[in-house]
Amino acid sequence: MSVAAVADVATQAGGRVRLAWGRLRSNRVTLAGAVIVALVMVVAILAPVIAPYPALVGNPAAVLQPPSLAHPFGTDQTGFDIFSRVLYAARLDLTIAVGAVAIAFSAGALFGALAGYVGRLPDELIMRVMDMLSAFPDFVLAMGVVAALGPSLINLIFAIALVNLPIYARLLRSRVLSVRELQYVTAARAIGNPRWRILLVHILPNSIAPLFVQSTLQAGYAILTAAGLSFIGLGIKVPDAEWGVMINMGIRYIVSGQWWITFFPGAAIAITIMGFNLIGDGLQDLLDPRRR
Amino acid sequence: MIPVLTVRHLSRSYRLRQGWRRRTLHAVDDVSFEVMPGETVALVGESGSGKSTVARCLLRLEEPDGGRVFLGDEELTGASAARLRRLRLRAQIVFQDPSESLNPRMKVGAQIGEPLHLHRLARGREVRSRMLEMLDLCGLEPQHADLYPHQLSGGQRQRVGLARALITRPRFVVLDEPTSALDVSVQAQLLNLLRRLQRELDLSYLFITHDLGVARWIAQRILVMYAGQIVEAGPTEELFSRPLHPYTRLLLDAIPVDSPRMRRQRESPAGEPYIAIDPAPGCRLIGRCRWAAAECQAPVELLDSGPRRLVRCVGHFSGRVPVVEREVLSPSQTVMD
Repeated sequence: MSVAAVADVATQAGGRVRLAWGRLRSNRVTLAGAVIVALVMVVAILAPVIAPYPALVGNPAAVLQPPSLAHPFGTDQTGFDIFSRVLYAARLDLTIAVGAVAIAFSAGALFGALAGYVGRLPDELIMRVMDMLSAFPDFVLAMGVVAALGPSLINLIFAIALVNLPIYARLLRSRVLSVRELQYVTAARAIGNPRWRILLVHILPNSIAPLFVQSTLQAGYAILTAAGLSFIGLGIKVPDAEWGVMINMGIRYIVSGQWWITFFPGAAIAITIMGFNLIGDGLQDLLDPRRR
Repeated sequence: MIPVLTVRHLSRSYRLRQGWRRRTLHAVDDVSFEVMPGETVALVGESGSGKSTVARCLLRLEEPDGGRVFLGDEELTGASAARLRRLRLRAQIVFQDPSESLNPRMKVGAQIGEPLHLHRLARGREVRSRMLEMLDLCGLEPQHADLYPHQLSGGQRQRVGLARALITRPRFVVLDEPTSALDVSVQAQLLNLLRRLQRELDLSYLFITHDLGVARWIAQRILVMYAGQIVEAGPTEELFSRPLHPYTRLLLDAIPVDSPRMRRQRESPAGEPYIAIDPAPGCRLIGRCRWAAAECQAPVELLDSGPRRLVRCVGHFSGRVPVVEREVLSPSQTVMD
């Protein structure tokens, strides 16, 4: 697309979206990521429609069957259809990822903005708490929080959000610290902007883009952490349809040759995370207004 | 007539730490001047002379640590945050680099209209109509309002910066090197625009620049700043034809000329600009001045030397530094018209 055409499109209402789509198309890798994530979302929404069997009703006559036409991903020891459960599990795993990222993003951004903008004391207080949170290995902290609060969907989301929060806070704080020194912020002060408006209108929109990129990466890791916690019995409980739970249920059968019970949910995790990561790599370019 | 801007003993210093030593950089040291209604005063000096710090202190974008600033008869220094916001309606600033002084994520029109919105001077459709009017006055087209800064050229961006500064109809505008990031031809257009706007909107300018040619084109009076102090002040043409301070001569000699005959008469500036870190009480030009002598180590004041002329030089008053009439090119030869 020529420069003139770019400028032209950008001036029209909705041009931003169309342009983003245009750039997305020209970047194959990002497009692949977007397609994967979109597909997982469609699967999550349509699971009851497209799944051939219910998620929590087993067939005792068909246990531990290898993949076949009737059961594309095989069945497990209770006669659950793995294919159907992999589809259903997308619902829980995406909910956890989106929920945890949304909470971590908003709370982290709030703390980061306060730390970077308000003053020395809030900065020290907030950032030392963030240091405490990140002193623990992520998974250990999440384990501890879920173990303390009791395993449940809400607590799982909360734990993962808490683990991710310092990343957003640090990222935004450092962006705010550098953007606040730029000349257009001084100019905003000169024309009479109140302090809070400088932060909201002039600093934040110019600082927030890296957090979106981070979010897509974190969404992938959130699924991994959720699956990990559910796998060790903290989080989603057996026999609910969740990828980590499913791997947990199949773990004893790997040695005896029933690989499909663990393989397909594992592959679902890997593919979903890959999708999020591919998007994250391409997002930075899309969000930078100077490259539109 | 009351000056639109009065500056008295303005000072701003920064504490530095060099190893275990604590030192003080006197960026602006006891600067006083005023700007009359309709007047353009140029503040010239090398980079590091403190001229931009003066600009920021005038509007209290940076807090001066000494001295007073008045807009008309109202004092800006010491004003409460609310009063300061109101006073800033009457004094505005245009920054040097237009690509850095505009918010990259806000449309140009929104940025120009923002002051109206902030000070509740207009609302809704009126903001837009006044914004478009200002856009036109600054030589931009209505369709520019819906573009982002990066879609404009450097000259257009600086016009946006100007429109934003002028939309609240201030009486006084600080222009902090507004043309030095621009091409020469674009520079000339902007300077002409500034002059036209000054007449039409009854503005007073403090024009900060390191370019004496530009200063001469736009200003009626020139203040020469060196190492945080004003070393010479005077009406533009007099200052060019009869510079009194050795530093002013160095600056004038640094203007490129196209006549080999004139080039031979010139002194080449020697030495580095002086940075006023824990300065000695004497003249700060000592290391670079060919007339430097023992008496220059005594404290020097900015003193009257004839009508409307001020000089900070002991040698000038003792007659050691000769006054030389300079051959001056006409303004049309120094500035692209």
